[in-house]
Formats: sequence, C-alpha cells, structure tokens
Amino acid sequence: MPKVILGGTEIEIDEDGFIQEPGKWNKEVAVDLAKTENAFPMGEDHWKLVNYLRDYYLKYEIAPPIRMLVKQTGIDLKTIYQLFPGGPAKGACKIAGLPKPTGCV
Amino acid sequence: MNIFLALLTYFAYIFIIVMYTIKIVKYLRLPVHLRWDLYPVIHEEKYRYGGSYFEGLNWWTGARQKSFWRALRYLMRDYLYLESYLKKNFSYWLVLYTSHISFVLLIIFQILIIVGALLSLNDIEVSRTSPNISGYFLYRFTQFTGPACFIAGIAGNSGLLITRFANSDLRLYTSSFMYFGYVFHIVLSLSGLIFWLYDGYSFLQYREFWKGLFILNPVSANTVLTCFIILINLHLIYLPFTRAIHYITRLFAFFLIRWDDEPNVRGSMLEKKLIKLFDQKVSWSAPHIQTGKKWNEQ
Amino acid sequence: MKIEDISKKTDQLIRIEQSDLMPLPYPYDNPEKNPPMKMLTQEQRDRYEASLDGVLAIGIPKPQSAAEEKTFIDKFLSGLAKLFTKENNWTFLQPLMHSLEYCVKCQLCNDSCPAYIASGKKEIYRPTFRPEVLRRIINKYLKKSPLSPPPSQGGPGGLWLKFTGSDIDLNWITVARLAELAYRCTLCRKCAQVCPLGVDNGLITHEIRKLFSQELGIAPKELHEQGTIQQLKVGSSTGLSPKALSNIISFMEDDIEEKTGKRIKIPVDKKGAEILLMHNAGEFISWPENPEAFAIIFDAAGIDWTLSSELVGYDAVNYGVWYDDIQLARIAIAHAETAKKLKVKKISVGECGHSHKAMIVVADRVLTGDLNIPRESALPLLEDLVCNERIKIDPNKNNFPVTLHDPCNMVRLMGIVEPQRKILRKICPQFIEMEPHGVENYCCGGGSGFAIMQSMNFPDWRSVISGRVKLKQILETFHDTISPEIKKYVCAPCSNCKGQIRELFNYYNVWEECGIFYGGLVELIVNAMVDIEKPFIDWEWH
Ligand code: SF4
Ligand code: SF4
Repeated sequence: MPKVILGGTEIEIDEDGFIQEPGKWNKEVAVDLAKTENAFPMGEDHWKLVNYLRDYYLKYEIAPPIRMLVKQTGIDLKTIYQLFPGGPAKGACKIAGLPKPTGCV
Repeated sequence: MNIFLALLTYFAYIFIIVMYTIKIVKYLRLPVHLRWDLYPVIHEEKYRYGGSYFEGLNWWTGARQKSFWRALRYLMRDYLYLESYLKKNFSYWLVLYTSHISFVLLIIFQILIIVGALLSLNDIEVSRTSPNISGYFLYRFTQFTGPACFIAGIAGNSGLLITRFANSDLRLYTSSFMYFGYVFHIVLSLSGLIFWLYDGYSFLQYREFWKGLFILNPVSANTVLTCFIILINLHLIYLPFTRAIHYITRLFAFFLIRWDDEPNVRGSMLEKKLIKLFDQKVSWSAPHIQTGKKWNEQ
Repeated sequence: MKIEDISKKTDQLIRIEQSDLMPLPYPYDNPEKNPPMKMLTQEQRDRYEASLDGVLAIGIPKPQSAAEEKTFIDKFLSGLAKLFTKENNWTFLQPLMHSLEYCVKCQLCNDSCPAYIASGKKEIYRPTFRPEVLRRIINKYLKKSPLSPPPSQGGPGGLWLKFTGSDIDLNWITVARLAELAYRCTLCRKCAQVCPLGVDNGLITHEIRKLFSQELGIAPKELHEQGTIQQLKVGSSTGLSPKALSNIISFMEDDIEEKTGKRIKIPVDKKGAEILLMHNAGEFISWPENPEAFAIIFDAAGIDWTLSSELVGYDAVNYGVWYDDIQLARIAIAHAETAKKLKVKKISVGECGHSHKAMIVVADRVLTGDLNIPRESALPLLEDLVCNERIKIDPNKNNFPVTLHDPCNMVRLMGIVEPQRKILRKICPQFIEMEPHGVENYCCGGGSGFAIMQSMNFPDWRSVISGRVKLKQILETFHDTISPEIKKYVCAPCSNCKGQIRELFNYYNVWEECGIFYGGLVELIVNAMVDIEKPFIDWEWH
C-alpha cells in the first residue's frame, strides 16, 4: 500500500486514496484530502457533512445511508455534489477518513 | 495380409467399444454436482419462455410436471438438422451438416454391410436379384448409403477444411490435428468411392470380407478394398481421440447439467449422496481453508 | 493475435481504444465525446501485473524473485490438478470436465458475449479464449501422455503438442494474466445458452477463479477479504453490524412515516414468523427505500414476516458463488442457521439476483437435514399480492415509460421470468420490454461481483466495456422518449444490477442527458398504491 504525507503525518492509503489508518485522521488530514477531491477550501457545510460522517462512523463503524446524511444535516444531495464533486461516498467519506465502502453499496 | 486385415478389424472394433465405454462410464460416474441450471429447461411446464418451478409461491408444495419426452424431442431436433447452426450461420451449417450426414451414413453403411454379411451367412442372398425381400432392400440401401456417405464426406469435409481455414475466427482455434481429421475423412471417403466404382457398385467383396470375419476365416481382399478397410479401421481407432462422442455426451450435458433442476428433498437419495460428498477431506491450500479437514468441518 | 501470445512478455496484450468499441446510440453516438477510460498510473503499473489490458480487477503484485515466480507457477499447477479431483471439486467436476472436453470451437457462442462485442471483438474477451488457454495448459503441463513429455525433457512432445494445438508457455505472466482474465467475464452464461453442445465457458471462468482463490488465496479483495471473510466475521460484506442495522431500521421507520404518514413497526427477529425476509445488506445503506417498500407492502397485506439481526442473517449476499465453493458453503450454512434459530416457515429472498441463485438454487445441494429450510424468491409472493389485488393499486400513478432489466441470476439461471412482468403489466401502463429480454437478456455488466469491484480503473472498464450493451439496450428501448424532460424508469430487481446501472448512468450522465432513472420493483408497487398519497419514487434521488 502506498504511503503519503497528509496533514504533516505519513499515512497509508489504498489504491483509490482512502486512508487505511483511521486513527491518524484529524482536521489537517481532512483538509489535505479535500485538496485531492476538489473540495478545497472547506467551508461550514463541508465540515458539517464531514463531522457527521465521522461521528457516525466512530459510533457504527460504517458510513450512514446517504438519505440519512441528507436528512440529519439538512443539506440536499445536489448541494452535497456541489461541495464534494466526488459525491457523498467517494468524496465526502474519503475526506472524513472513512474506509472505502464495501459490499453491494 | 488376410490375417492382418482381420486382426486389425477385430482390434479396431474392440478398441472403439472399450474406449467409448470407458469414456461414458467415467462421465456418468462423476459425482453429483451443485446445481448449475440454465434456462429454458425444456422439461419444465413453462419452457416456452424459460420459466421454472421457482415462479410458483411455495414451490416445494406443488406437484412437478416434468416432460422428459419433450426434452428429448428438443435435443433430437438439433440432431436432425443442427438447428442452432442453421439459425446462425447458413454457410457454416451447410458444410457442417453435410459432414455430419456423411458421418451418420458411414455408421449406417457399416451396419448394413454387417447385417448383409449375417444374412448371407444364413443363406439369404443380398443382391439386386435376391428373391428375399430383405436381401433385396438391404442391397439397395447399401448401394445408396455407401456412395452418398462418401460423396457427402468429401464435400462436407473439404467444405469444413476450407471454411475453418478461410475464416480467421475459426482458423485461430483450429489445430493441425483438426485439419488432419478433415483430410482423413476426405481420404477415407475417396477410397470408399473408388472401391465402390471398382467393385461394380455392389460392395459384394466388402460383405464377403465381413462374412469371413464372422466365421473366423479371413478372406483375401484386393488392393483397393484393402486400402479402404485399413482406412476405415484406422478411423475407428482415431475416433476416440476426437470429440466425435459429443453425439452422446451432449445428451448428458443437457440432462445431467444444464437441465438438472432436481430439488434436494430431506431424506432423499440425493441428500444421502450429498452427505457423503461433504464427508470428504479437502486439500486446497489457501490460507482461509482448513486444509486436511472435511467439507462439513470448514 | 494468437492464443499463445498470452505467454509473451509484452507491455500489454490488447489496448482498449474508443474508436474500436461497439458504437452507442444517440446521444452517445460520437465516440470522441464519451468519457475516456482512466489509465493506471505508472506507479501502479510498476507494482502490479497489468499487462493483460491495462485494467486491474485483482492487482497481482509483480514477483520479486525467480523463486517467487516458481512457487506461484507450481501452486497454480497444483491447484489446477485439484480441480480435477473428486474430493476437492466434486461440486463442479462433471460440468467442468464436459466443458473442457467437448467444445468443438465452432465459435457460435461468440456474438452472445456482451464484453466481447462491446470491446469491438478483442480476442482476449472472446468466450472461448480463456477456456482455450486453460485447455492448452492442461494438455501440456498436466496430462501425462506418452506422446507429450513435458517440453523440459525435449523429445517429440513439442511437435505432438503443436500438432494437437496445445502450444503455450507456462510462465509467471501467463498465470497472472489468466487470473486477471477470469475477471473479465461476468458469468452471465449467455454464451452457454447458445452452445448446441452444452459447453459452458462461463463455468470455466468460474473454475479458474476458484482455483486461484482456493489454492493461491488470490481474488479481488472486494469479494474475499472485504466480502465473504468480512461477512462471516462482522455479519455483512458492507461492514454493517447489528448495532448499525438497528439504527438504520429505526431511521427507515421514520422515513416511512414521513413519506406515507403511517408508522410501521419493522419486525426484527420475530420467532416463528411465516417469512424471514433476507435483503442484500447493501439495500439498507444505499437504497433503504427498497426494504422500506417491502415493509409497506407486507404491512398493507398483513403478512407475518420478520428480518433477522443475526450476523450474516441480515445480509443475503453470498459472494462465494462467484469465486470460492468453500466460502459459498460456509455462508449458505450461516444463512440457513439463522432461519433455523428463528423457527421461521421459510426464507424469502428480496431483490438481489445472486442471492437468489446462491441461496435458493446452488445452496440447495449444500444444505441437508434440518438446514434445508424452504427458500423462495420474494417475487411470486409480490405477484400474488399485486395481481390478486391483496393490495390496492392505481396504475395511473405510474404513468411514465418503464422497462425491465432481467438479472441473469434470477432469470436465465433460475427461470423466474414472469412474476415481475405480470406485476409490471398490472402497475405500469407504459411498460415496454427491452430486446432481447427474459432468459435471453444481456447482463448489466456488473455480474459476478463486478458491480462491487471499485478499485483503480476497473469501474471504468465496467462502464465502457461490460455494461456497454446494456446501456445500448436501454437507450434503444427509450428511443422515442429519449428527451430528458420525459422521466423514464429502468426497473432492476437486483442490488448488484442497480449498483452497476447507477455507475453506468453516472459515467454517461444519463439522467441529465436522457432523463432515465433506475430502481427496484417494490418501489414501483408502492408508488402505485392507492392508500399512499405522496409519490414514493423520488426522481431527484439519482
Ligand atoms: S462453446 Fe459451444 S458454441 Fe462456443 S465454440 Fe465451443 S462448441 Fe461452439
Ligand atoms: S459468461 Fe457471459 S461474459 Fe462470460 S464469456 Fe459467456 S457471454 Fe461472455
């Protein structure tokens, strides 16, 4: 697995840029990831989404359904795509330090 | 020479029978496999659109309507005129069909010769002037099938040879052995044809040769017939090394694999077989497998 | 290109060029405007063996030493030998032997392969190419014939092998390419359907995959580590734990209430229920409206049903069916045990094609004794509810063009053809069939695990090659209503197909350019229910 410097620390990422060491995630890491995902600079709504995803992940070890994300943050899908051109799963989740989604999702 | 020809013939027949029996027995003795059905399954009631009993609510409660004969008829139709090829590719079908016809006629021809030999051993004359009706018809049939087989054999196999060589998709997947097979058929057919012309269109000498085989008293054959007999025997020996038995295995593939939709019922024979199969040790060695343990311990 | 070229150390066996590809209909008829395929980075090419077609599904790291190469080849050969032993491969021995021995190479099957046609007939994607490579390896390196001693011993063997068409060299690159190549066929078995001799080239792909997984531990990580292994450990290949499931279920209950005004309690782990409904767990995460719709329908019809929150029990998937018999059996048994514990009368499988085939058909010969619990598709039940008017439907609510995609696993491989059609004819006044359809359908391009294989440039390959024929079919079906103002619906009653169609549509911007949406079957049913006031289908949700 390749290693890259994100937020000043060396972190292992997978082939598609998802970090493999979720423990090393912090805001600086997120900002650096956002640069690779065309989601830079990160505004309030970016953080709202990223923090929601992060919190959900820490609690349930999985990303929430996108529907839930939209409902709970009050940010609609279109806006999410504007904020994260990669989309909620490949863009927002990656920046929030979640592993790449697996299974039939 | 007489002895040699006779021995070669005995050997060829025994060889092909033994080889084919081994092949078929081996095929049929392979263990029952996991289901791998492919629809349409023709014995099913809803075969027209490819439906199965899984379309029914609580399918395990209903009685199954299975038509073995319809399934067999379906397969037979393809034997009769190779329908799948006819639908897809006419020119390929034409040469393929001709060569298949020749193959079938060759089998019929041999049977007619053998039966003819047996008849004349029983004092029934096999000829154009035979007073016995079976003798007469046998003679006429033989007279027809022989040359028909040889001509079709030359035409069909030359056609296949050319098609398989000229079409790049086919050429890529055609081995020298396959080309050899076509040439072999052509040579065999040619020798048959020559013998037929030489023999005065009657195949009398060939029947006499077979008579000799039956009474264990080999008769001598002229050069033309000798060539033909050698070729036909070599052909029998060669067949088990080809895929010619697909005539039969095709039936197995449909009935035992593609259309095998037998559900596993508790307490059935099938279940007993499966339990036994699961009781075998696995020697796969990937890390996630417990090598040396049984299927049912995995 | 020749078959034996697979052993040649070239940079790449074939190149995928836009101009070679099968043309697409309007509005994608200009190849230059279609998005190009993502290339691997040089760094990825250095690390992995990408010399097949420049695409990576597995990503086999290049060997570091000659010894490593040798072990790899030896293991491949030992695995190959095991494929032909009863104790190791009784599960598919007869079908495998038949397909290896009786192909007459007439190439009649070629044109039915979506990957082969879409690529502009690239040799390596031809349905008969893979089997031919395997046959040659077997003839040359496995069969002990006096006429063909291994070439290492020289002698006439080489000539004889050439004569019989078994020319091939077994080296590292051959084996690595073959492994990758096993993931360029979706196991749709359309080629097998047209073969007059009953030969099944898809099956041979399946067996090659098994050999790599069961002997060398090589499989795409999405199928293995993150797939079956994760499912057996965490409960689901999505990583969904029982705790997360219960969170999502309560979210679904809220969502249902919001959409329909009704509060429904979704039953979980109800002992002795008539039906244990098993969904692909991906539905809970990506398409919760699908299990929601099931809940609404079952509630309205008064069905006695339940979900399970048992590990594995809430995820109907069984990726083992695509690449590994041992994993297949383990998961099938875990599924059955869930039902046994809950003492349900039967298992009903939701809208997931491969789960249908794995659980109902293939596992039928894995489950014996009291594990052999009745299992069926949810479609006949839905047909009964809709067509016998056990729920009230107003078809006018679905007054938009709808077409149906037939998931291979459910249809060609299982014979469930009509229930979904009877439903659609009843509830969708503008239902039109694609051509061809039913058991002769084309795969969505995401079959055999492709839809979930998301690494490197494989998703692009799926959209450009394996899904191309499906896209063409969909566009042709909606030819007369192709303008984006007219909303259209592709009904795909399968999680995998939905995943693939979603990506395909995103890749080509199909919603924006053509107004085509995709979704399951139950969503359409609920959308047409008389008692539900608001539309259930959310068109903006694409
Ligand atoms: S698989 Fe069947 S159709 Fe295809 S080449 Fe072989 S024999 Fe012909
Ligand atoms: S199974 Fe499907 S994808 Fe695979 S070779 Fe056959 S037609 Fe092509």
